[in-house]
Amino acid sequence: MNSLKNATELFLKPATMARKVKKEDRLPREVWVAGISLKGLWPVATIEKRMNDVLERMENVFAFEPDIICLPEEINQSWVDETLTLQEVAEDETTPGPITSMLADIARRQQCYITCPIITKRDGHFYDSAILLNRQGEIDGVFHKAHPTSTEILPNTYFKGGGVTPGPIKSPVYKTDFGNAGIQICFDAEWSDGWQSLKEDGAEIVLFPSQGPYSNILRNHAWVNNYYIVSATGEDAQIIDITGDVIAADGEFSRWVCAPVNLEKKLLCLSPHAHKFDAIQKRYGRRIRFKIYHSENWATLENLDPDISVSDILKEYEIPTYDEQLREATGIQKKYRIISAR
Amino acid sequence: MKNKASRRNFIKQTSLGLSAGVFGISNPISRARNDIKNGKLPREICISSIDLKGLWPDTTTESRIKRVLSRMGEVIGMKPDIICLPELFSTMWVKEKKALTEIAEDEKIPGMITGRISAFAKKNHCYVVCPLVTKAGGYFYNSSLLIDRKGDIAGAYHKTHPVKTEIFPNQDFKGGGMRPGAIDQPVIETDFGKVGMQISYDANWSDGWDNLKKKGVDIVLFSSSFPGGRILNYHALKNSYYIVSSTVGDARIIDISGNDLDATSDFVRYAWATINLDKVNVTTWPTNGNLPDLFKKYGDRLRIKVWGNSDVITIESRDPQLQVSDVLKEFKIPNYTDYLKYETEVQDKHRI
Repeated sequence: MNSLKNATELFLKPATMARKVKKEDRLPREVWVAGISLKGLWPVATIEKRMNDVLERMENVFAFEPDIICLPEEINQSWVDETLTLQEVAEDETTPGPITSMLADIARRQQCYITCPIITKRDGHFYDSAILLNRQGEIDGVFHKAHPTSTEILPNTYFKGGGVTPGPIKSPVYKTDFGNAGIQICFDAEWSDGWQSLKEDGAEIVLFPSQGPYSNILRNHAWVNNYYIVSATGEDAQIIDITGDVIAADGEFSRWVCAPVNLEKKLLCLSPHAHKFDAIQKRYGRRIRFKIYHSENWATLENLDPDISVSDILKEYEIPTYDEQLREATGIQKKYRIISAR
Repeated sequence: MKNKASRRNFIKQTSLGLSAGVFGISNPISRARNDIKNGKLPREICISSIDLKGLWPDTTTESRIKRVLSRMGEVIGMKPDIICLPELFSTMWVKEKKALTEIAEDEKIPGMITGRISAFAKKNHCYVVCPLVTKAGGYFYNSSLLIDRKGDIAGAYHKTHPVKTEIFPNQDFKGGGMRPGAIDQPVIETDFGKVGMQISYDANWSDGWDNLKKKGVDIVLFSSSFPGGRILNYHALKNSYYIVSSTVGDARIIDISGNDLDATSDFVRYAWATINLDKVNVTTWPTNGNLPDLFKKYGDRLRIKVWGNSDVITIESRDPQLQVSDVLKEFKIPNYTDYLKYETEVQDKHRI
């Protein structure tokens, strides 16, 4: 119950003062997510130097015992001067190559998931990918960037020795031990299809390795789809709430983020249910938290007590989630719309 | 491994572009821009909006209309081309309750409410968005009528997504309920460009907003009982059009980049802005590569702004002799929509 409060206090202190947060104190659906920015680590001469720099930066978040760490796109390649062909850098998707192995070792030692964004090769095609490593350092899944830029696709334009193939629009949602996670990469931010597909398949967190930051675009994807987004880019790293609010962002003095998100949090419409909120708050006191978004006509409700279920409260007070309310409204509108106007 | 087309160059070039913008690299041509006739660029207009804050609750429709007209009078000094009013402005949170049949007006012949607004529009030579209950084909609609500069009704929009209490008879309204409007409704041609309208709860669905984009609107006029907040900024950026909102809580002018240009405050209950419809969104990358040359050649004849928060660059002409479309053509820069269309085609062609 207290760890979210503790976490808030931590953000007010310099990163160097971060102290270990006990896992046993966490809420049932509290997930600690981390993102590592690449800012200040490029350009760099060699892949070895890059990976050393990244590993050193990652060490900052270990004290928080994160459940997952998100790394930037093409972690071993973005803005690295060492020129290799696609064939030379691409790793297998089932048998870990050098970069995957290096990060798998960290995942195993820190007992956390890691997104490992690298070039992969499958069935003779190259992909701009993110491999999801689990707490045992095993490969849980591989996401292929669905929307590479044309310069990445067309051979010998951006990459030497070939080009990458676009992945499928519909990508898998990974069942992790903390919830459902999806991945999108960089230019994917400009399209809605992949993000929407992840929502339809129940993603609760989307990991976003990227070169560009896509700030407001990511915030929009978060509230449109009601999931958290963890970004790790060449410019920044952010943790974005289901409302699109930025929960944590990196800055000049710490180029990483690590914070808890509560997967028990729900987005609601203020109207016509706001009149019930006072009674709920009086009954549950500090064990729950409402946050009101007047301009958007939204509210969020989350539990701060492991024995409280938000779903049970919503059921008891007959409050639908935002999605449920819009679904019902759409059905009524369709029924009453004049046939010639449908 | 990589060739030069990288984000590293993007950052460097963008920084150069920003610096050039800040310090205003000038050239002889740029100094000639003072010859703008009437002080306006060809596609420059003034848009404005009022909110309803402080005007509710109210006792009667008559009282409300008078107070709204008074507030509209405050913005007339800006010589607006259009004024947007809030959803159901004459009846929203008015104690006097009348049946739908009493308040609904015709969509062709100005009634009591439309007549007053039409007279204002004619007198002040501006368009006005007049939201009210209308009746058409035997059904009631939560509508916005667009009144033109002559005071005539130029077009109507029916709220596509009313809340259920508006639809179900005798809940929000006495004597009936509203029908949801068609998903696909026409845009309206004005003397300054194409406009579309959306109302309140519509903000929560994308269909109407997307249709307006497909039909090429320049501005969407949003009348509402709730402000909309970031939802509106999202629609503006996603669709690259301006949004003018007029609500019971605030009024805003939102840029095609998704950023607020103006908003009402405790001391001023109207928002206004002079906007240029000859303005486009382009993607930051790879357009950043063209920025140094654009600044060098056109100086302040163009206004170029890199929006780091929304990953777009807006380019607008500040010279009546210069059209943005010609500049984009010259530098082979696609606008935002065309660029993503091209990229999608390449992706689809190469996807397994």
